[in-house]
Amino acid sequence: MNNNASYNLSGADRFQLFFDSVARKNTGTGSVIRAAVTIAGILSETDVYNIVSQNEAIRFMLRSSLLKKWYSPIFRLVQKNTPADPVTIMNFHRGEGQEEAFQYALTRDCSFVTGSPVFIDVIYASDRTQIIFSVNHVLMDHAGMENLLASFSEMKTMQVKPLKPLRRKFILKRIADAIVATLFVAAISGWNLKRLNKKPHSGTPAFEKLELSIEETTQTKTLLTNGIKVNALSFFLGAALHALDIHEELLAEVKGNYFVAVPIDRRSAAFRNVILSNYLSFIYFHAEPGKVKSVKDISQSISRQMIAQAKQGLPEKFSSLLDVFRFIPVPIYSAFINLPSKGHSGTFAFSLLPNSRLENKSFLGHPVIDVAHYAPVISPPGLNIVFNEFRGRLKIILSFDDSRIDKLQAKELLQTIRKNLLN
Amino acid sequence: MLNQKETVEAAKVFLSKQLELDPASIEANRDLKSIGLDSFRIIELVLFLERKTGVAFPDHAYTPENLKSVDSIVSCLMKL
Repeated sequence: MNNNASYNLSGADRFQLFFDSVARKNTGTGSVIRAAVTIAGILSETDVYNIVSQNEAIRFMLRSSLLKKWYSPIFRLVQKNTPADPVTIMNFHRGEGQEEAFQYALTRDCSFVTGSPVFIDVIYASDRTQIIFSVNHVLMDHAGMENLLASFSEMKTMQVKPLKPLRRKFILKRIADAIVATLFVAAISGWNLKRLNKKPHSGTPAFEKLELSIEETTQTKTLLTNGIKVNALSFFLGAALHALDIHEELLAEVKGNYFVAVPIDRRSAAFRNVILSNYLSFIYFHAEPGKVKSVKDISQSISRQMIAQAKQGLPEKFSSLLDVFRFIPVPIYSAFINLPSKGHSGTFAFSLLPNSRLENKSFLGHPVIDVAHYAPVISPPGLNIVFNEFRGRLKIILSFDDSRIDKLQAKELLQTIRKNLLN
Repeated sequence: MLNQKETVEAAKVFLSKQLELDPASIEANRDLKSIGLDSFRIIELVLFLERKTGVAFPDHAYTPENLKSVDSIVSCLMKL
């Protein structure tokens, strides 16, 4: 790889750039995405160091730095000639309280400016080892994290390809698409987001997790296939939105329609195993609080919106919008980005992960017991829900900003989602 | 209007472009999710076939059974 090559940011970060300008001003570029893998057995520190330091994706991240030019709104990912030493990103936790070590690892900041964009925490228990990867969201999305974990499991060389550049012959069409997409965003979200006159982000990321039993997961799948149209996405999103509707105090500051961004991974076959991707596109849903009568109702509503947006080609148009950003001068971009939100963003993000590629495999030479993906915390209102299935058990992982939502509220929300999934 | 066989072939060509696969390697009765289609791409396939055949896929037909494979989508369209 050419160390002087320059890369654009991933689709995930450019999406965040669009809707999260306040958070970026306060917390720096990008949020943090995490994954925790629990394996049977005790790893030696030397083995972990050797395997991690030889992984090409990790090496890529250790060479990565961000570059911002004054005239452009887009940060660029550049490759340094001198990579950081892998030993600086690895931390081994022995002898201390496991819960404290886990909480520490899950709230680690990964900043290009003040530290490393990637950290690996290894927490030892008597018969197992837990490895937590924390990576700046600029470097990967959920699919990228899954690819990174698979590279350790399969001992394969991770591909890190430069993103596909915008082809000039389509620029006019893309600009036209971008205008359509912008008007769409303003139309469906503007009147809602402008009410989100939030204070700057001040809390720290916090997480709550709920795991269904195998029987409950099976029951959920039966309901999913028998009663709900189209796919799992609308059903899970329906259950989450319905829960928010019941716990209205959680989003008390969000009046009007919910605004939900669902990243759709559009990696083509050639990019399926890479960590970076600019093939993400997004679907937007709205549902009026108080009118969400049941999970089935909202799932059907979401399905209809999904089909309508597909018919308009909106996911592609949003990708165009993100592409066109790189050509817009900063002052125009600033006005543009503030159009729908008046400088304040509010998103509730949602991810439904595919079955893990670590299912029934080994990781660093030991059997995998558990895997959990922790979503980046976006602000405000800083609520992010991931559905993640492993070994026949569905997990719901809630990431939130602890200055806005307390742990009890988060636990209640998770229980309501569980109840919605089972009824 | 395309017949069932022609519609299946058109779907395979569409999928081959989406997934960057050889059309001959796509089996019409194979589960679409197993070849890498996410739910949104399945909807795009349905919309493509609507345009090709001129038949609208009604709202009530978006069921997991009907959307399982190329065969099941095309069969559903042919019955409409």
